[in-house]
Amino acid sequence: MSNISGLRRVSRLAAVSVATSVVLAVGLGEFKDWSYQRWRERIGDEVSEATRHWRPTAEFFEPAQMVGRQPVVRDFQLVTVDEASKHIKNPELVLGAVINGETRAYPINVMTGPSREIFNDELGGRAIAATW
Amino acid sequence: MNGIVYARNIKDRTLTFAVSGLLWENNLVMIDEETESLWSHLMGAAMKGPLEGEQLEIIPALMTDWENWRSSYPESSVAMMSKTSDFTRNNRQMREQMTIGIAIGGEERNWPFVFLIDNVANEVVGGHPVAVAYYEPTLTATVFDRRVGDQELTFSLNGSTGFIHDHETGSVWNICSGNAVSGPLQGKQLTRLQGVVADGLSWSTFHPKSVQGKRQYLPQIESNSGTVGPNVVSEPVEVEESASAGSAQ
Repeated sequence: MSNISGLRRVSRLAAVSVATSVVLAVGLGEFKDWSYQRWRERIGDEVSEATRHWRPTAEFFEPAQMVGRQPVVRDFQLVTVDEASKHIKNPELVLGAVINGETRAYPINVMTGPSREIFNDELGGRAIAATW
Repeated sequence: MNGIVYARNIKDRTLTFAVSGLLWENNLVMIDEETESLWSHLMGAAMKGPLEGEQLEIIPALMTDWENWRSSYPESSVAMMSKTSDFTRNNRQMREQMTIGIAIGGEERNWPFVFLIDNVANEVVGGHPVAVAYYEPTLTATVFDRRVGDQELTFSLNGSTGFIHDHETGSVWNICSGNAVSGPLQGKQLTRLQGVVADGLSWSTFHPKSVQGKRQYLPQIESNSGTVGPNVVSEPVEVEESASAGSAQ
């Protein structure tokens, strides 16, 4: 007899705890969704409000000084592809241009970083800037 | 992450550019030594200073990996300095991040690299028939004019060789140099256009009017190819041909 009532108690407890956890899970889930939704809407509104009128024009030109002004880059060496192959290996990328039959490659790995980024050059009779 | 070659002159005046140390919307701001004007890198436009409103001309360029460049242009010179990074191509990252864009004939269009994995984009931008060519294994990306003489061509990518071929004559072209290496047009050369390889976010920030080009998919059937097997009749090929003939009129 005590075994049966004990089983009943356990099963009732189990049912209650299952029901509670279902209610909690659903409730929390809803709450979580609701707050996430609200959060997204609020952030979205702020972002769109800030960017609604922004255009890449002089009116909105508000750059920030991140590093100091860098010296001009123009004293690089011009080498053949065989010579360059000692330093540049295949997974590396280049930017390349051809002007009036004259051909030049600018390896990306010598162009990165604020001290480089703009190579002032002459190619095929034209003054050019190779940039990354 | 934006590879652009500019002509550094405004009319007869040659300018010398340096890194200003300023960033605008996370993008490089250039400064010219001669007038101290500030230039948006990705737009090539002077935003502040005596030259405000001036626009630099883009020199057609391409991005590719070293071996593809070397084999396509063995006579080329290379601008060398000490390395500043060991940035090597990360196909997955580049594919997801980069776009190739063009501003031509008053129109702006861009193709994320993911749109071009399977094939060349053949489109008309600002009245110019363009072929946007991308080959993922070498990360070659460039834009060609589709006209050779009076003929307008339509290109496909051969995904196993990295060469492109035109539908009209079946000639095979080097994706890097735009030279026809075999076929009826062998010896001809495609004109490269001022396509720009750029970070996708930066491109859309500075070219807000740019629309995305069509996403390219692998063609279901290779026309004039015996590899599709006997079960595939020529009917779909005819449909494709009549469709392309219709659009050409």
